[in-house]
Amino acid sequence: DKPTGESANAAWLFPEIGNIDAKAPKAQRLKQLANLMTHPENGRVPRTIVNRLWGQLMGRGIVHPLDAMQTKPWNEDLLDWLAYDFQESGYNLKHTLRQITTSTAYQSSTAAHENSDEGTEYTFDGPRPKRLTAEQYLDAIWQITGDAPSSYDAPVARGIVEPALIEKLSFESSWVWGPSAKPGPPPHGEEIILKYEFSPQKKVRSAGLIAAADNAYVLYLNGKRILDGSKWSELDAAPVANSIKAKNTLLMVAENRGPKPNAAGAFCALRIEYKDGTDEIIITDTTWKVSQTVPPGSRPNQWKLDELTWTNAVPVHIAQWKDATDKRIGTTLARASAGSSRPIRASLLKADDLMRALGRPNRDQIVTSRPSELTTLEAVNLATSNELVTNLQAGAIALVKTLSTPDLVDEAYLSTLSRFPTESEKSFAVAALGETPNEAIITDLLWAITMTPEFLIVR
Amino acid sequence: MKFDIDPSAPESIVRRDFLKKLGAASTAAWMSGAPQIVRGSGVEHPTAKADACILLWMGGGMAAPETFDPKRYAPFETGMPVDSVLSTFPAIDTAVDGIKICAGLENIAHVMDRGTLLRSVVQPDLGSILHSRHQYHWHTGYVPPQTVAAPHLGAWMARVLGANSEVMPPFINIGQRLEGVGEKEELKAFTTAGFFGSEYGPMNLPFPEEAAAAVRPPEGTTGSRFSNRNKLLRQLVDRSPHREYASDFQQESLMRSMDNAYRLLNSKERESFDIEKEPKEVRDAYDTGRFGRGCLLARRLVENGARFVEVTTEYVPFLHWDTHANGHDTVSRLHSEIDKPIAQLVLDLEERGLLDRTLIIVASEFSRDAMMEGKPGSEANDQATHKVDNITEMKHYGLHRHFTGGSSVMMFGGGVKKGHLYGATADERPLIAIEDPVTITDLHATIMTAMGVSPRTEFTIEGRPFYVTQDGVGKPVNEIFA
Repeated sequence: DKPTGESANAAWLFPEIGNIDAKAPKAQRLKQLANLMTHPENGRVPRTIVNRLWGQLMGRGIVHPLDAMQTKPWNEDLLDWLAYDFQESGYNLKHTLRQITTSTAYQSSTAAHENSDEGTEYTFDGPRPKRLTAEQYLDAIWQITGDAPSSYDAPVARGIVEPALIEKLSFESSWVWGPSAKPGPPPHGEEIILKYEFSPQKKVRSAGLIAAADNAYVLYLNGKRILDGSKWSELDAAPVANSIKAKNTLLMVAENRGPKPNAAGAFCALRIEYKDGTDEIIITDTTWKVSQTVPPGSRPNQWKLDELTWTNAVPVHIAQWKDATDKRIGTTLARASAGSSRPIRASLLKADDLMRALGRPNRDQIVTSRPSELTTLEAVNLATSNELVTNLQAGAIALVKTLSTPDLVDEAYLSTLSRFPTESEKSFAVAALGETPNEAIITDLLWAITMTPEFLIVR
Repeated sequence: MKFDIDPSAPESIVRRDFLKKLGAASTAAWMSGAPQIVRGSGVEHPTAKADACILLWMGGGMAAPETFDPKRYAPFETGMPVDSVLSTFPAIDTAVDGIKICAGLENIAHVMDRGTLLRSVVQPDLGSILHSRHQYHWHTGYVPPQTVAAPHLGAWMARVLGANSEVMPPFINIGQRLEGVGEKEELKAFTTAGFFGSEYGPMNLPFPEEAAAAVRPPEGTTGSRFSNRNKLLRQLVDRSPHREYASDFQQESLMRSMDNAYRLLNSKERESFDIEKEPKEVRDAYDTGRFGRGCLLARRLVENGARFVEVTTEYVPFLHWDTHANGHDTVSRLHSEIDKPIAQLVLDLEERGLLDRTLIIVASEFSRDAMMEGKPGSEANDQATHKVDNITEMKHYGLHRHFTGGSSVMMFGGGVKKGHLYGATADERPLIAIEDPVTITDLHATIMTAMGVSPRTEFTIEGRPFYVTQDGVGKPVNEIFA
């Protein structure tokens, strides 16, 4: 920390296989580094990677602890072979994951063990039990209760996007505004609603929505706020297949800001892919309706749209808008479509208190593995968590609506533990619930089941 | 602890034994158990003078000349040269002859005869002066970055001494937000149990008035619903066919944590988290702000068995003690925020007969000076916001540079001498420690000795020895102990 007057040069740790040219520009150095990391004679990197994968699946690495790669592995041949196989596959992580998970070793019964640290001698006796991670636990709860959040915190591109699709979905943007744009320019501070109604005739497989506006907008689909933005040069996107119903209303509330009247425009495109493989693309154009009055509040479901005056949208052509957005439409829309049919996963949401209570580390802390024990403080958080109770309550409500006590207990066990309750479990639970259980007791039953070691520990 | 086991179910007879074993082992987690990773202490621990420690952390760099070590007072005068400023507050008498502290701390002055003031605590030269680096060093004993997650002092105490109670978490951290504030990553780096594992980590209570919620069952769950829920869990565990894997330690440790948690939430100690339960006059005496309320919470927690509680005025870059401008006015506000609560904490513990066995420490990561950054010979960058030669506005008036040559630490209770002064700093700039300088490492040794932990206590992690004082070389300042 104290200046010595000397500077270090960029260099590579294992000069036996090559080096990095410290004087080269950064882009070139990165390329050199990438080549060194994947050099065929670099035995360290593939071993580190496969050790991590093994550790994650089996509950204990071939080298233990995971990041102490200088330690002797409990089986050198295994580590060597997996590393070589990984390299040969083209550094394909999924290939190695498949190798491990389809192996007899992985599919053997889980080894119970007395202590977490057996010292230096270890013989593989089966996979180790692992506690569900915070994300796995929440995904499981959401799957059981049907109560997953409806959108990601940040737009996430999921799924592989075919270049052909990007090509197919590339088209020119089409911007519109209200009557004040002809001749224009529209007044500053003006707010308009753009409306489009549609009823898909076929079953929807995926749907992607993109939008931008000068200066700002909020986009609702069937009353649900999907997108918003305040930079006309940025295209926002979201997968929306889950929000499409038989009859749909798209509402875009757009605002023109500025110190004086200036150009305003809004652009939106919805691409629907049907299960039969056909496509439909809806773009803002003169068939969209405009209202120059915006009701107060942010609950479009409460707005009386019929009481507003609607005219046809007016096309607006501004070169800067098109220059900024056109080239991005294909990729953005393709990504939004690809991501839309998958359930929301906890690992792609920001950590919250509940996830932290279950052991999700802070983003800024580098951890190679998570502790398998649940600490007392974490248990305190789980016991006091309102959020968890709310999630489980949603599941309880669904159960109490459709089932009565004995079947309810069966369903609770089937959906959480994938098995029927034993005689002993069932008789106890049925007695605890009583003949007419309320959602509180069912919530508590679900809470208790999801706190048992059987649920929390993967075997 | 009662288990409602159905005696007619045959499996439960075997299960009962297991659960009994589990019950006895339940207290294990926080009580000093066998070290897991490590070689652990083969050292001789000194006899403890204190059972609990309260660290009152003045985060941001508390200026000693403005608090516990007043120098020549120069009142504000437009045009006054900056180098004429040593202290911006006059000195006042205290309950101890020969010790004066700054005006604004009248209540603390009144209780100075309950403790020892160290005026010669010095910080190491860590290059460019970063709060986070010095805070990390102060709280863990080691200088960052480290390749090993170094534990907080509180975690050391929790690990070596164990808890002081069967239910109360041993290490509690009050008043510092760890999200949504600047340098939160650096704060989190030392607010941790590090390699001891998060079982010894702090219970973080950033807002004392909301602490009760951290140990309250979820909304809508009345007392009996909460305990019935726990009974449900125990019954399901008991009856589960999964029980055949009863020897699995992971399963045991899971249930043990659940068990500990439930006991805390069901205990009378839980009430200590709720400062509203104090009579109004008492609450008012402490309620100067978040810090004051935190002091009251700390007292309640220590009364109920917490081992180490830290209460901070909160470190936020450029706020509170971290004065880079407006030093005098800000410190004046801080005086009123800390004065009454600290004094009341000392008096309350004394009244309850707990002061002698509770070590209260008032400290900060370094001191401040009006002119000098670092200490003589340091090449640290000058970080004052307004670099002026003459003071023309109040925003220039104060100690706006970081000073590591001499700082003050106040200790009450915990076996230290009463009404004692240790060490001294110069009366003219540079205000460095000129008598009995105490390094941070030796300060840690002193604190640990008071708590009954040998400064040479060592754990081996990833083949590397880690000590409770940096490299195990800390020497306690025994002279301050009675």
